[in-house]
Amino acid sequence: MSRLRPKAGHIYLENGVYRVWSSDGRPVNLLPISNRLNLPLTVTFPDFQKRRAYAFDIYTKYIGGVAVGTADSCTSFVTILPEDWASSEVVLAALPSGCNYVDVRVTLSRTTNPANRLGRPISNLLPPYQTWLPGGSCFCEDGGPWSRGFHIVISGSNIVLWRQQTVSAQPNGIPWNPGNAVYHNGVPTEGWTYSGGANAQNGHLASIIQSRNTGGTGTHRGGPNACSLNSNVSFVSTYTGTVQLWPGYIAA
Amino acid sequence: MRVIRGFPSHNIVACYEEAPGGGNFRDINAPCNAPAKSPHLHLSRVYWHSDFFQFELAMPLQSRTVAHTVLAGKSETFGTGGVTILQYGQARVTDLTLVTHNLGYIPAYFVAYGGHSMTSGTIIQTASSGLRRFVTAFATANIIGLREVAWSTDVALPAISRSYQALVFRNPVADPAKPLMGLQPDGVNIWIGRGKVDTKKQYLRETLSSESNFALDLGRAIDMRGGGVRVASGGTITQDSLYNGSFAGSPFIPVGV
Repeated sequence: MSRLRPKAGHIYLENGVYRVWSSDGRPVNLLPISNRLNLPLTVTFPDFQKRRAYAFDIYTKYIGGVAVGTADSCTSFVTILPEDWASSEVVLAALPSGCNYVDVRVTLSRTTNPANRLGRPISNLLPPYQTWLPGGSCFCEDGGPWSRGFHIVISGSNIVLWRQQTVSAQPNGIPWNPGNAVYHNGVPTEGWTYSGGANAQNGHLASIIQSRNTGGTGTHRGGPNACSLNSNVSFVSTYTGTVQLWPGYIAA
Repeated sequence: MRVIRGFPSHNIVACYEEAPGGGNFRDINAPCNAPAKSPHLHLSRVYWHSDFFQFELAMPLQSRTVAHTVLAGKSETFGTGGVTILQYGQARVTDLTLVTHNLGYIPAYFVAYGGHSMTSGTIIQTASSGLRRFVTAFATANIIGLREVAWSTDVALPAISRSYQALVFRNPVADPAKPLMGLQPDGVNIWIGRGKVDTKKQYLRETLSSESNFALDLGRAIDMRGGGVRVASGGTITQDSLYNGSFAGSPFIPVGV
């Protein structure tokens, strides 16, 4: 038998088997549907700090099993530097007075894909369907050495968006030439070298710019047949769609 | 004073702490009844109000065990003409159906995993050297689904079973033919708010200590540092092998039906 009754100083609504709700275990209270906001949302993650890596290899040429000399080959790479980046807050909406909670649900598609990492597409953790974000947090991209996500949370009297992206600080394992030397005793020396700015030696391989193996020589860095170091590859990613914000009050 | 009152002329029923100022308790315009008249201005005093959205279960709590399949290891070379890179592992993205609800609209829903609300990109499996599996719950007009993203290395990501609890909600609409508050024809159950609350149904509410529950995070539950991610939800922390921060999570409350 259902009943509405006082119990230990509180008001209880019960159905005879379980507690429907009570004043000491109140319902999750969201404002009426008319207070629910559906807003357009675009979340963009900026490109990483990029440098270059250059791999140069000297090998023996064979014809009919007979060594006939040496040739060389190169591969140039874009690398990405370690980082821990967070954006500033962007106000999405004002939080109604008295509310201390917001239910956040997003429907987003990735409309700008980051470049493939070493030939592999970057998986999208966020499906293009309505997704509830408990606490407002969303982990949306795992690129191997990098992660990206965003948060839609209460900040003061507003509901705000802020973003994070991070690139691994772990060693990249690349055996750079001692002193980053391209030459040894005036002769191009095989191995790995880095360039492109400060901390380039810490970059993680991200994208091949060019590979060359002509069967001849001169593919060392700066040589007549060198691999290019020019690249406009971009790891920017953008998610576009809508966000549903539903304010409420929870007695924590 | 803690009260539950109905005001038929305003079609309002509410359970609340009276506001200061007294007045005739039958008069919705009395100062004491301000939380009933203007609940959005007195949210901390309101326990329940017929105007608020009611998280009414559209079907009983759905418990599901999902058999997440193995992802084979992989080794392949990448690059031509010069240096080749030996790459280990592969990624796979799969959308799974967790619950078929066929409500014909996208419902409010919660999915719980490990006793807490499941965030986007919840880590459900990790192992050495980068083996990992993430899931994100989603809703369509017909299903509650899981997007699974899995990574292997040169070794396979083993198959694994994981259990989830899905709550699918409808928004009950007031029926003018039902009483503001009264006993149903079955003589057993009660309607409140012209059927917006029906004691035959179940509603999401904060739980008492003896009741089964899952944790609802009240603030952000994810952090990213050092290339990796940590999920701190409901007091439970999981992270991948790269994360090097110290995020402790946000407050949470126990909720259930």
